[in-house]
Amino acid sequence: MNVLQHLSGLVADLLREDDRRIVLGEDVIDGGMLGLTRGVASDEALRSRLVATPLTPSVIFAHAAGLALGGRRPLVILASTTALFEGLAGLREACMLGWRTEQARSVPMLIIAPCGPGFSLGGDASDGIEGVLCRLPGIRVLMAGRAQDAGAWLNAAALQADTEGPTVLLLPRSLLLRELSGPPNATLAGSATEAQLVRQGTTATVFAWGETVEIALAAVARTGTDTAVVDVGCLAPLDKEALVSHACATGKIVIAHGSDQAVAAELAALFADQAILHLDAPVTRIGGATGPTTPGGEAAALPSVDRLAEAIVSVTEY
Amino acid sequence: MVMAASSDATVSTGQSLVHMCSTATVRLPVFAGLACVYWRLTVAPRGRYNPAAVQVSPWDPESVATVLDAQGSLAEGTDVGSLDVRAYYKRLVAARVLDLRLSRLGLPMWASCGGEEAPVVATALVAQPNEWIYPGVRDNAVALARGVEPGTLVDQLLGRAQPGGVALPRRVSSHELRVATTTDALGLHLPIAAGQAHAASMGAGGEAVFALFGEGLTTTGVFHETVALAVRGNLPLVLVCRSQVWPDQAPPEAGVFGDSVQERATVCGLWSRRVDGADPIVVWNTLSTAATRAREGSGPSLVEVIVTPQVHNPPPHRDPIERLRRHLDAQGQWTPTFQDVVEAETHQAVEDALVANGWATEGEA
Amino acid sequence: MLQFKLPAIGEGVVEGEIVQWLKKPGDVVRANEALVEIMTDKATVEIPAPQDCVVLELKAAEGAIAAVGETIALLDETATSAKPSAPPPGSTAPPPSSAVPASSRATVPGSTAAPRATTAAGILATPAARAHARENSIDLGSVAGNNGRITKRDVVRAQSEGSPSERETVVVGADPRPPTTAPAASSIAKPASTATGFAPGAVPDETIPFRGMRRRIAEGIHKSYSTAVHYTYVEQIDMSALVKLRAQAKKAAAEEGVNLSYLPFIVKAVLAGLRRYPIVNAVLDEEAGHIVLRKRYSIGVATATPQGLMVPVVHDADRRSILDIAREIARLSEAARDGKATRDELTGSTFTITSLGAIGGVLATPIINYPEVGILGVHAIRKTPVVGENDEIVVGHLMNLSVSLDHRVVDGFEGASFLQEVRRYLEDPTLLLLSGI
Repeated sequence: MNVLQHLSGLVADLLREDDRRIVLGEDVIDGGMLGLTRGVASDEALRSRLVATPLTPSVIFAHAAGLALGGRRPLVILASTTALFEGLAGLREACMLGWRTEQARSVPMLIIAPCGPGFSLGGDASDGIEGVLCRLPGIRVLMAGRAQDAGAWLNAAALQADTEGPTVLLLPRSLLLRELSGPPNATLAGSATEAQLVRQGTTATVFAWGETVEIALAAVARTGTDTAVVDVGCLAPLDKEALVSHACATGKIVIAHGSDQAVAAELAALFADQAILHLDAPVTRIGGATGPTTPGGEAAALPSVDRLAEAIVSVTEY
Repeated sequence: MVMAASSDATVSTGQSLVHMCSTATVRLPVFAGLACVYWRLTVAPRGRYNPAAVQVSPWDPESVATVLDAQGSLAEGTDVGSLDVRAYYKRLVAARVLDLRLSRLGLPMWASCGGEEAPVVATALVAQPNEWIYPGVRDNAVALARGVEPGTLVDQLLGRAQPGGVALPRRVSSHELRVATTTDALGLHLPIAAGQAHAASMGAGGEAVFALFGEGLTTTGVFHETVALAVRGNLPLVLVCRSQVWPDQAPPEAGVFGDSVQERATVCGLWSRRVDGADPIVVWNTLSTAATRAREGSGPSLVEVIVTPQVHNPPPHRDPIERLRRHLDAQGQWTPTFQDVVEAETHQAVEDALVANGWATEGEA
Repeated sequence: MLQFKLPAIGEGVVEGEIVQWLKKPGDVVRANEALVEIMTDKATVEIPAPQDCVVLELKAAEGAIAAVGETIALLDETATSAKPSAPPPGSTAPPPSSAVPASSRATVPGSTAAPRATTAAGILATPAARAHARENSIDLGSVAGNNGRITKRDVVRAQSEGSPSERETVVVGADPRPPTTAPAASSIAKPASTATGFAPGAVPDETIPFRGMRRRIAEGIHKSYSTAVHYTYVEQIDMSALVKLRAQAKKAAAEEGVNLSYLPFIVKAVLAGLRRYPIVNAVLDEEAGHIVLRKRYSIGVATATPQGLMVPVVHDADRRSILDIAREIARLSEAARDGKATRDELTGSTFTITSLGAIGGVLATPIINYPEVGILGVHAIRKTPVVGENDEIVVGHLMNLSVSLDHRVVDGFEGASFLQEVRRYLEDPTLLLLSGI
């Protein structure tokens, strides 16, 4: 079973466990572009809760916000993060509703979008969006890390309090077609908003999220150093206390990111501000190329294991 | 949109009204004086106005439903059902007083909505207490008609935070009275309203959701996408569109000049009606029908109301308040004293709120 | 991407030390523009870039020894703009190196920017190192750094190695301020710094990295001192005649544009001594088991330079005139001070003269410029009362010469005789004339 099939089953489970949940998106009735609603579509009891929407992301988000205001738990499945760029106006309104009404009319809605390289789509498919999303007031932006955790991220993202605003869960494409090795994790070690220490270490700390989590683990293994790896996971709001604590533990920091530099810049600034007395080497960012790519050049959107390993050694020996 | 300040006639009228009212510290003795103001407010100066001469004027829209003629006579066989016409009239006057007083504040980006009260107040009355209304940016009178205290309303309009709600300046909302906030991005309250209607249809049913907007929005994608959503989902959504018939110099943002939104909505598959906004009775009647359809599960609807902004200085029979006053007068239900009391109630409450907010000093002329 | 390898700088050179990177990652370098400063045995040379390129990464840190042929930097010859630009639309996958900003490279900035842990601006230490040192009252000046900087690891190591009492002694002694209230005795026991709350280590010792030229000098001196069996022999020379001669010759030399000092005359006198005692112009080759008597007379002239002691060589001094030698010494000294001396100009001497004239002194024990067997130290000429030919007291111009010789090769008798021969020529400069200068 690959990750997408696993997630498809979980989406159906989510609808079964809470009858307020409803799925919106392009072609969701037929399983959707990613097949994430195949599980729901094949269950007669759940089928009525699939809503095919006009192909206008802004209206999809506003519509989902209205459904949330009406007591539903909308789950919007997008075919690409490009739709988030297109629908920014609607998403922004959804995010603002909680503030406008002092949480009297919050909109706990969940948006799921595949992101980054992996399908050889080219264009801006692999271009990061997290920096833009994190700017929206009241939003929660999550990015699934290891393939084994993808389902756990979905379950955690769907746990929304009534007073919460929209949550966006970004699923790295490079994980989605991966075959699961062994039983997947059903839950995260902590809550969705907590930074997770996925590898213990004492000499340096790599902060990663999304695809770079597994790249970081591989890079650490290559260096043979005792380096910790933190899956930042929740990009907005940042779990600042835990992140600073992890940074202070070693004082030698590498931030591994995809093509979006904004979150990495925010982390670097956070550590410069709140971990200054513990910094023992330059806070180093290792990222992928920004901007559109050719279908064959998608890999450039992510840092290589080599470059990351080199940076880990560099800060360790600094 | 036309700024209030561009019409000297309206502003000077409003000033006179407020002047007479605020010079009095005790209300009752000034009622007689207010009656004079009332005439200046709603009736053109003698000599310029001859009701008998007004049958068809360039101000009167074509192809619209109406039940109340220019003199305020109700067409025979019209059923006003449960409508309390006097109460309706009081709400319309309150909306006008609020608009005129706020227009005097010289707020930036303020647009008067005098003359457009009928669809706004009628929506507030037609909607059940549990039914949500999504007003447009100028539809403050919805909140007033729903029962939001004038003091709260003024606070919200001036951008003061209120317990239980943070409104943007010039925008009102009330969670308890089911008046939703407006949106920053123009027109996005329509798909949100559609979403809420969708949720309502999935629930127990029997609940309509109302959204108000101007005809300019009907040229946007978000309007058509909302219509598509509503028709596809057979949503209990009542779209209330205020259309202006521009006598001259329609600005480019006014949309498709001279066309009928109702016709376009019909083509899109909506149940739609086009009514005269100078006739409060037909507006209420049509909106009631649309709401009933929505509650019964018959689907979405669009009611296009042709309004004539008072800033254009139209003839008095194009003013919905004056037309309904003529109707009440003919029924023997209107007196100058009644008018004075209605105006003073709202005016005093608004004035008190302005004083409390530091926007006016007590006894200010 | 271009691998920039340390080129063969000179004959027999197998390695070089990276003295200083003149460019940092991200810098644009034009063809033939200096890229790095490399020091070999005694020459420091600037090595230019082979072509227009952008520095991607420095593979060898400053202070490191690199072998000839070893990659010391990665260059990007395809990009010649400082800011790596986005790939042109439609191009195939760009090399990741050109598409990511320089700031996100693995090369950490400190590895190229700071050659020393101690600079004019203070000690280079990471915030964590400073915090740890502060919390544990450790003087950062006493902590040995690494890569030109101090990290927390270095402080922790210093903490486990050093004893607190030692540090305290350093701090007390380091307070330079005079006592303000108490008498001198008590002020030592109770320094003013305690009263005014001076933090321990407020006046840290300065740490100078032991590398580059200093290390080269040390290696050479140590080799010489630990190998050659030094003995020093001092003689007093009456320079009165030469003083007169030089005063006259100086005017004539000035017309030739030469500032004539005593050194060229001393060189000539030494050459006379070397010719008479060839064993002093020899080299001991222990491995081969023989002593080589050099037939070339090349005199090294020890010169103080900002980088340290250097010995430029007047090759074939025996074939040069006094004026020529004067010109050559002036040219070589300047080249050495400016670091422009070539490897050839800095090697190949057969005997060395070290002039202490400007400073004076009575005697010195010069260390032989290995593998030579002799070195002559020249002291100042001083006016001294001397007994004249008729036993009268006259003003004499006396100068001491200290010669150090390798006793393994040069016996005491020969060494002393060599210096006496030099003396003979200096005291009677007409001999210089006769010998055909």
